[in-house]
Amino acid sequence: MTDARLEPLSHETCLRLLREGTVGRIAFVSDGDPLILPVNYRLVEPSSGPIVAVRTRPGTAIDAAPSSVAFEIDSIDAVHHQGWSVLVQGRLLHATPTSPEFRELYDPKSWVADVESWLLIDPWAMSGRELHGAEGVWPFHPGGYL
Amino acid sequence: MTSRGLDVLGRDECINLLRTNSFGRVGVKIADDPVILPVFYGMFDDEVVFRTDPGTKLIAAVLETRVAFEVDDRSDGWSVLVIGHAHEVRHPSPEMTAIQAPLGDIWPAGERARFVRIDIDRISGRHLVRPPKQTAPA
Repeated sequence: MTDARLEPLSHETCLRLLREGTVGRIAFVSDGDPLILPVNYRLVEPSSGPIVAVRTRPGTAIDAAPSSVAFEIDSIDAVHHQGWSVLVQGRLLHATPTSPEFRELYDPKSWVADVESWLLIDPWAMSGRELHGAEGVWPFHPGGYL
Repeated sequence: MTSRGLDVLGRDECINLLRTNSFGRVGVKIADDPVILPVFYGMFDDEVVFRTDPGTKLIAAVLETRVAFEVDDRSDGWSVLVIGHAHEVRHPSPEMTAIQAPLGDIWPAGERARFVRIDIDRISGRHLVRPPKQTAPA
């Protein structure tokens, strides 16, 4: 039996996974301590490059976060012994919605109410890893049908 | 206590949620920038213990510093955040060495895992309050 292994994901795969997701986690340093908080998000892709759009309530820790942030999404499938994670490191910017078009395009459709602070994460690094299941653990083997 | 769609969870509830899960994320500063790294973990004496391999930046970055640790469940709508000091476990118990995901050992053969415990200093949790579900007609 071969051990499970981790392999890097391509930039394109990281972007595809970010496009498909709706919930991630943002991390930043607040009063000296790192914090990780789950957020609804939406990947927006203007010509200038991909942006992770987030909305929060004014005055929350996320709203008051410093400009250096990390953003992460992941998925673990225990049944198929697989999983992946994508990490974005970027600069957090505050945006002011100036048009209905902006609101439509950048709205991550938060599960929480009163999220009138609009934030954009402009990535300077993006990486991902994929966990391949250990060989020999698959419940079905083609040999079984021959 | 409810605050605009989010229920605040008590410490015991948070600890129970940590006990019934095995996959979380560590937040730490590497070169002044925050990073989030997924880990498998276990709870021992109300402390979070996770394993990592000796080659990662993680082990060097977390030891003797304050780190964040987060676990959440999208379908149930809860999340728990721990802040605490990270220490290496020099002599992990057999139960600790058994920490791995249902996935099995994700580290290459031959590399010995190292174990880090987080002394919980602050713990907090949130639960999304959803509108009552419509009962389906019988």
